[in-house]
Amino acid sequence: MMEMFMVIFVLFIIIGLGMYYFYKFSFSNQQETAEDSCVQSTNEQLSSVLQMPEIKCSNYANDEECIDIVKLIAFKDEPSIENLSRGSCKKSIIFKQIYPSIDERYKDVECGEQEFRDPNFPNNCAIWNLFQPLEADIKNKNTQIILETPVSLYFPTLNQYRIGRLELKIYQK
Amino acid sequence: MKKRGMVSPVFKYIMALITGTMFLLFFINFGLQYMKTQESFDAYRLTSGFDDILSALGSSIDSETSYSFPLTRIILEPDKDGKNRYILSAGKSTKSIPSYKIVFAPKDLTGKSLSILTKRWYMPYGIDNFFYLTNERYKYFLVYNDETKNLVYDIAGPDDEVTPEISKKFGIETVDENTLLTNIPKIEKFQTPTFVLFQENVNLEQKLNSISNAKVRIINLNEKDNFGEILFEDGQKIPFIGKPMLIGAIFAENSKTYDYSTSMALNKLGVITKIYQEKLRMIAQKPQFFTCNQYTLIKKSFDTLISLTRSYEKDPNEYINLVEVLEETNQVLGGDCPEIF
Repeated sequence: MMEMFMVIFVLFIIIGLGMYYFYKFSFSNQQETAEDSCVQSTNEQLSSVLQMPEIKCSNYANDEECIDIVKLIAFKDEPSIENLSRGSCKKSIIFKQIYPSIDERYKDVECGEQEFRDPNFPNNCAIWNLFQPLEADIKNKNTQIILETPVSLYFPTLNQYRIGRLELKIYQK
Repeated sequence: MKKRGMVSPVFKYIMALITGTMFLLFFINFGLQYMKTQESFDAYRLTSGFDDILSALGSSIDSETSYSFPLTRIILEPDKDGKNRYILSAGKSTKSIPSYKIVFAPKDLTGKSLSILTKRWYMPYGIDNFFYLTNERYKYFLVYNDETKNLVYDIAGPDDEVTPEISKKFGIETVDENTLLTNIPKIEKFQTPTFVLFQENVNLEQKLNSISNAKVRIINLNEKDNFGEILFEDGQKIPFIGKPMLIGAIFAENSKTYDYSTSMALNKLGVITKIYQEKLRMIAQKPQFFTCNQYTLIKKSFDTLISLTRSYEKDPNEYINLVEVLEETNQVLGGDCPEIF
């Protein structure tokens, strides 16, 4: 009788271990797929962000292929900007001016309303941080994947176009 | 006499039966749980992939595509929390994803593929894309008479001369009101036909209403064809502002979802107008633009438009007037006073 219990006990342990590793493998597989799908969806977003009516340029109500930097500043304060984030796929959306290059002192300065009011604008800042996930959401995510694309930035007050870059930074474990 | 330590064979059999059943139940339960998790995960991937496809399609102001997937039930419902978004779920999954896309579609999209059409809504500037979804289970009939033929052909007519707004693969058929009456027996074979009448016709309405599962909607057009009112099958009258909204009335599940989507659109109109209002405020603060008097006029129109959208007012006439004023005022800008939109 004792031998039978021992056999059943050992069998349970073997099955338990097998299931633990099976679940672990399956879970990591799902996590990997979720991360791949996050990169894929961010890739799609790279083009769709540029078409958002909230930031897209228009010329007498006709859409133009550029980003209006004044709308970009105005959109940042809109509560609906939160809709850009979805589920566990955390990412930041940043626009950077790359040409003409900005003085080293202002390269990391974010362009807000205060900078816009300054007579030196747009030479006093180079970054538009459109969306940033909460610190708590990216605390344990140490890997960063950056997807980027060139963009045309339009400065309506100067009627001038400059070359910029859209960066989508994905935070992953 | 029984010896100590000896087990009766009957007990052994019972023991083996219990252990065997336990093992079997355990494995069945494990398998079912795993299947459920996998199904839920696949459904989540399907819905989020679907939302990505809509986002990608939204890059274009007017386009269409087909989306294929394994036979699944896709459900699209307005969010009950009043957050101005749709909830998208697939299969038996309890997991769903929120979608902020303005969608006009039947609630149940069970099938293997979806036809997706998108159009951008302008008021007068670009507001957002509307998405129209359907599949092969649904059939739509646009009924015209001599007066409304051009408009109907413009929406979904034959594409030999002008490309219509909606292609044939969306299950749309244009029918003359006189020929429809003679074709009613043939129409009855469709599972859920939707009839959109572009002119009131009491006799025809009565006949169509007698078809089981048929939805009959009547469009009352304004002098300008792009504005008016839709009378739904439940007796609700809801206005439409612009052709993209009119097209939405063809594909919407019912008056409630149509009303929900149009409210989402008005909310977005408010958001975009607020951004332009901010843009105007920031530009007007720059000393070189202090002399731009037109900005005051535009600001006033923006203020009225924002309060209109906040009140969820849907009277098309109110919007037409404002849009015209905005367009005219913005048109004279340029040069020393940058245009706002």
